[in-house]
This record gives sequence, C-alpha cells and structure tokens, in this order.
Amino acid sequence: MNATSVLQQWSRERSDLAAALARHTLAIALGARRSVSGIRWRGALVVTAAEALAGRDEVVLVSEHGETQGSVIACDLATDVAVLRIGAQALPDADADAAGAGATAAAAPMLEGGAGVVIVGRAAAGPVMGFGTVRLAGPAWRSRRGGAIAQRLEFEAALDGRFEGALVADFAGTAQAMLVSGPRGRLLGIPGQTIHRIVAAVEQHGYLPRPYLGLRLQGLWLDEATRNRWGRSSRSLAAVAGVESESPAEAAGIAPGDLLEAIDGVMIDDAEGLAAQLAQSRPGGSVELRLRRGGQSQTLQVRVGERRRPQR
Amino acid sequence: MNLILQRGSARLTAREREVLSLVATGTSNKGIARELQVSPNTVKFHIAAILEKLDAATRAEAVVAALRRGELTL
Repeated sequence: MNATSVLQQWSRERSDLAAALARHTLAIALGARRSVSGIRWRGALVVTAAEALAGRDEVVLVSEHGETQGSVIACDLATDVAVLRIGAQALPDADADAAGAGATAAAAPMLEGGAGVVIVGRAAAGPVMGFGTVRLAGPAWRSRRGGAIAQRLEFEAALDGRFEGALVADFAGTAQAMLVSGPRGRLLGIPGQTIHRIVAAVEQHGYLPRPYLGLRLQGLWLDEATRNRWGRSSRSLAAVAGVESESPAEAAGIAPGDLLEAIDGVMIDDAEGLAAQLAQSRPGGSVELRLRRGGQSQTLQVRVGERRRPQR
Repeated sequence: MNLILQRGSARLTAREREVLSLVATGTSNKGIARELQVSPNTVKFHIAAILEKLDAATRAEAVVAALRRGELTL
C-alpha cells in the first residue's frame, strides 16, 4: 500500500459526503454579485437566513438544474429562519427529492462539542463546501432577538457570506442545522428541531401565525431591597407601558402600570423574555400572566390572539 | 439651546413605528409598501432611518431595541 492511500481515501470520503449533501442546497441570488444559500427542507419548501433576505419577497433560486423563482412565505427574525416556496416552474427533482434535508434533521441526535461537521451551501457557480468543528454545543437558549432555539451551536470554520443559510451536517451525512452569522462574526447553527417547528406551522397555515397580546412593555431596574421584598432574583422587571384597545390584554383587564412577573410560570425580566415565551404559544390558546399591581401579585388568564396580517 | 439627537436615542416617528411593527412580523418591503400605501423606496428609507435611530445593524436588532424601549406591541 503506498503512503498516500489513506489521505486519498480521506479526501475522497470528504468530497463524497459534501457532494451527497449538495443536492439539498440552492443559491439565493440577492443581486448581481451577491448570493446566500438555502436548504431544500421538504417538498417545495426551502429555508434560509431571514436577515439575509433584507425584506425581499421574491428571489431567484439557483440549483444544478438552473434558475427558478422563489417566494418568501415566512420570515422569523427572532430565530433567523425564513421559509420560501419554490415557484411554479418547480425544479425537476422536486418530487424525487420530496423528503428534503428536513426529513432527518428534525430527529437528528444533538451535536456535541468538538465534533466534525460538513457545511454545504451553494453559489451561482456551484456548491460551496467547507469542513469545521463544533466549537460550542450548549443547551436550548434564547437568542438576543427573543427567539427560542433548541440547542446553542457555534462552529469553527473558514467560510464567507455565500454560506449564510448553508446546511450543516454531521460526518454521517445527517442534516443537523442551518448556518447563520451571529454577533462578533460568530458562526451559529439553528438546529433542525427549531427549523422544523417553524416549517410545520407554515405547512399547517400557509403562513407563520404570530401570537398577539396587545401589550407594550418597558424595563425597570430593581434595587436589592425591592428584589428581596418581592422575592425576585433578576435585577430587571418589565412594566406595562401601554395596552392596545380591543386587544386580548385589554379584555383580560391588564392596565398600564402593571408589573409583569411571569408567563405560564416562567419568570419574565423584559420585553424580549415575553416575546420568546409568547413565540412558543399558539394563537387561540391562552397564557397565564402573573402581574404585580398595587403591591399585590395576581394571576390573569389571557387569551392569545393572532396578530393581524397585512393583505398580500 | 442646541438639541443634539444622539445615535440610538432619538424617538421613532409614528410612521417608523408602523414600519417597524410590520418588519417585526416578517413582512417584506413590498408588503409594507402595500399596507401603508407608499413606495418600496419609501419603506427602505424609513428602515434606514429606524436602524440609524436605534443604532442597530440588522432588522432583528432594531426590533429588539424598539421592544425594550416600549415602542413595539407584543
């Protein structure tokens, strides 16, 4: 056996792994020279990084079969997940590939720190591929944007902007996450489980329903004496600054000046905290809000409304 | 007296709040333009002003900053 054969085999396995995943990817053209990646998640649905779309509602999708139109049908800035539908001129492999990357991603075992990953996206000229390491694999977290994300994932890899929205898979070839850029140049992964939650809602309703209470909150800072008196560990507390008329919050009797302590038993510190908890409730259901009014704690059941959608 | 508006401290106008609350729900620029009956360029102009006032680099950052300031409804 010659000395390079192990390296050749290693190289071949890497390129085979990346090539097998490339069929799940599309390039999303954002101008003459700029593109990001998208993942064919299920059927005609494609996911990408929401922020990268910068408010577009129609984009050109490029695959190995050529170009087609895509419509943005949901854009969730809190989790950075956007869902697009491949246009009327479906891609030739749309049926054959109906399972998509999402079929395995939602149930994939969680990635562990130090594990190797392959990151596959697509540019107009063809697939773009990179290899990296899971730099951080933590528990579920809440993004600074108020999104509930199933696992904290951070990668180490040398990538450029074309990988935004790329597919991250483990070395078994199982789709695990979507790559998005985070603060301070970090490469974050949005886990398949979180993407699945959003895609499933879009499939059920045709759009992403938004829970709505009709509250505006502003943060207060609590000193130690007040924290002790109220039995709170957090230094901040959200006060109701406004209640919209004819809103669920108004119907439940919430009034400006009420202090919001908890929703469904989860302590709330600020507006982002409420946004993150609310994102996990369903319009039509109800939540239990614990409020402090006139020095007394009280609990109110509030029906969760649905935010009105603009006409399309 | 000179009033100097500092980046990240100016209040949003009513129109900017309307635009940002639509951005927060993932509405596209064109969707916002249709809803408010203005041109898509006007929407982009408003969004640029919002990012400047809230000292935000991205739409998501602007939404969070406005939520914290009590300028958006949940």
